[in-house]
Amino acid sequence: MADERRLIARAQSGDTAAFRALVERHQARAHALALRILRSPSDAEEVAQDAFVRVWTALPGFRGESTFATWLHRIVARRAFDRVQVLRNRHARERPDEGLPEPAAPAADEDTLRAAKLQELIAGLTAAQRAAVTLYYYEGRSVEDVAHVLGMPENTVKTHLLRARAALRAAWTHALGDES
Amino acid sequence: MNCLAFERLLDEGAPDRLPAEALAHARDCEACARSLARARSLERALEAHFSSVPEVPAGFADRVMARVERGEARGVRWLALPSALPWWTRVAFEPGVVLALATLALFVWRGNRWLAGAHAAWNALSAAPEWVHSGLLAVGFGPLADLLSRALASVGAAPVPVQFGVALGVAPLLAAIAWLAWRAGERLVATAGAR
Repeated sequence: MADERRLIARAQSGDTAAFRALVERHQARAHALALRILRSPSDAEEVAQDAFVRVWTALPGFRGESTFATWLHRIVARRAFDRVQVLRNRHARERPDEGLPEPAAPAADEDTLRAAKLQELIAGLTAAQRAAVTLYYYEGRSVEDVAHVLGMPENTVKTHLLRARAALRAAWTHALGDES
Repeated sequence: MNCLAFERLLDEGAPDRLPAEALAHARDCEACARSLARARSLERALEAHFSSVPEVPAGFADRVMARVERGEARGVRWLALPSALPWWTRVAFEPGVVLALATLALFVWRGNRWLAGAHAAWNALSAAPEWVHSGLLAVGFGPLADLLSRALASVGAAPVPVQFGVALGVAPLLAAIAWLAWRAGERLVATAGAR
């Protein structure tokens, strides 16, 4: 932690080597969050890159009121939500008769049928639900933390989690029924 | 506990942390026991799904650093970096300095009218009760007002280049006073916030 604070301080004063160390330390989780919200590797990489460039720009003003990871994830989540909106609008313009689907899914790399099914079910959630579920399960964050990262009221996060779980549970039950 | 309440508990999450009452219900109700088993299997699947970190594309950090070093948003960062600007530039951006300079400009532009107003006010004050008049003189307002009146009356009547020269000469002094006042104000706020 002290090491990270030192890196942040050095990066704040313009040390690009220190910033690279921060990027390398946080890239996996930032990229994973973007990928889980967007489900498109190319969009996820672009969003994660944009987020890091934004972090570099805003770093001099970072006061450490939240952890660096929380701050970074908030920027990633915001950018990913913006990208989802752009993709939806583009999709609606290009194919107005097909409603408002989520962005296209990436090539699957699941190794079990259940994992594939779960992937499919998670893809069916809204971007905000996926973000809440990702941070709650993957990051192991509390509802309060998730609310902080996503910039939403805690009750909204609880609602997203509740609806996501209900939808996943219903679909999971259905999927298990299909299997048996 | 009924089946509906049990289902709601499962939607709220944590099937491994259900209250004893709910577990007792699941033991007696075959449908809810099935729901619980499925909820647990979903929870395990979610944990497994989210514990696998997708691989970061190769060269990701290099591409980020290339964008950073290429200078994307460098101007914005440069402005955001407190030590990036020389002190005299930062002083010029301080609100107190801007306010002082704007006031000075207004004074140069309309100063003679203000002075006329001040003289009228002073004359009106002289008609005020004696103790008000002597009180103002005692705190130094009278001589100061006279001094300013004499100094600025001539500036107000002077040609524009002279006014401009006076403004240039006085501006740094006013800027320094405003700067000190601004810093003192910040210190007061910081001290109050630290308590």
